[in-house]
Amino acid sequence: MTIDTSTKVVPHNDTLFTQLHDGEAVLLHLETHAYYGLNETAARIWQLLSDGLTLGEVCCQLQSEFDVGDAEILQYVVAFAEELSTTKLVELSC
Amino acid sequence: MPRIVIELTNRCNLSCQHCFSGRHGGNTDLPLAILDHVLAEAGLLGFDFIAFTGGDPTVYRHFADALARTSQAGFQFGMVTNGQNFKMVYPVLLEHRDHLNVVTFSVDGATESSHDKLRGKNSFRRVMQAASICMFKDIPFSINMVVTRNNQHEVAELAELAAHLGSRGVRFGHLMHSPITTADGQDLSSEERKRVEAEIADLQRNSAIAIAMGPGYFTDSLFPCAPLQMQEVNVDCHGNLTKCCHLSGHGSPKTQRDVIGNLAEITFGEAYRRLVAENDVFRETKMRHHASGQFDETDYFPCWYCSRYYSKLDWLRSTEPNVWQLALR
Repeated sequence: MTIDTSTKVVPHNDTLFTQLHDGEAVLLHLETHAYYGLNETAARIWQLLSDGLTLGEVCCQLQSEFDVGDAEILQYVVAFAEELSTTKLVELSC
Repeated sequence: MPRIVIELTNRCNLSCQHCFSGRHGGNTDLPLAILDHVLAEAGLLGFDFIAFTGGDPTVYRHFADALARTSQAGFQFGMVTNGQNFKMVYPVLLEHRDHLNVVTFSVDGATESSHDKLRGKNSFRRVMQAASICMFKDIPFSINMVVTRNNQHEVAELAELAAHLGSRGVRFGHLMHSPITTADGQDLSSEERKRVEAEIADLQRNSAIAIAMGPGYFTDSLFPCAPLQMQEVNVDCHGNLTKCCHLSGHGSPKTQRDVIGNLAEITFGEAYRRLVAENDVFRETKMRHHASGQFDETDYFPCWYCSRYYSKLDWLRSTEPNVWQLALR
């Protein structure tokens, strides 16, 4: 499936998200045991995606919070979503 | 390393089906003064490691303080936890990372359904979250599984899960008999235990991580475990120095012969001296018992033997007939 600004990300039911004290977070898939440590930015993206925002809406939100350019942030968020999808931590929907 | 098991509290945030009846449903916290007492004296007797247990040690009111005092006294430490509070307490462990040896998570099934059946809804997810924190923060951890009728077919699967998670290893242990586990049919027969032990021995040869069978497995050795070799002593949450953490709090108030003395009343050194004397009597009795040909096959399970020796199993005489009841003489 093509990922664009209208894409939404749905965390898999077997994906455990754990927010840590320092702003970082951890993802673990119960079935595949795929595991990711997330830095503060990635943890924030995960939270926004989990709230049901599209990738485009996530980018807008991040621009208001961080000093980054449009293209750069979209590239980052899309790459993140693709990686999560590849490891079955999330499912993508339009 | 010679170690002291310290039960910080008998309070627990779970109510597991296979828990020793009444052992972890209490409301007692170890006085910090007792901990200080142990830390001040135990090193002089060669102990250099403290293993914190409960209940669940993370619900202890002075958890952070206990770790700080232990580290300051120069001891290495570890703890056994159900992992449910780990998200809250891991920063405290990181503060004492240099003294932390390992965190052992109790995981009683390789699947969410089997673990939660024993430990309660969502407990598997929380302990897996705890393991993921350890992976990310580089906190050494291991997994302990108590083998029951419910999860006996999952030992290989659990070893595989542990390896995937980056666990240092897995330790399997037999269930200690209690009225609840017996009524619930969770106890394995001696033959079933030996079958599981054979599977675990096979895993030991083939697993990518360390696999161990905890004390209590079928063995010809009369004194196979750390407490009987005076390499481990137990302090319960009441401040009692006791023979072994497996026996501690088990049985009725009338069957506490395994309690050696209370550390609010006697020094650790004196309690230890009494424990050595008690252990000498035990060893002599067991050797005599064995030499006279009176051993039943079940007596080669050391925890069972000790449970009988210390009269922890009288309740078993009044249950429905089963293979373990028949072994009581």
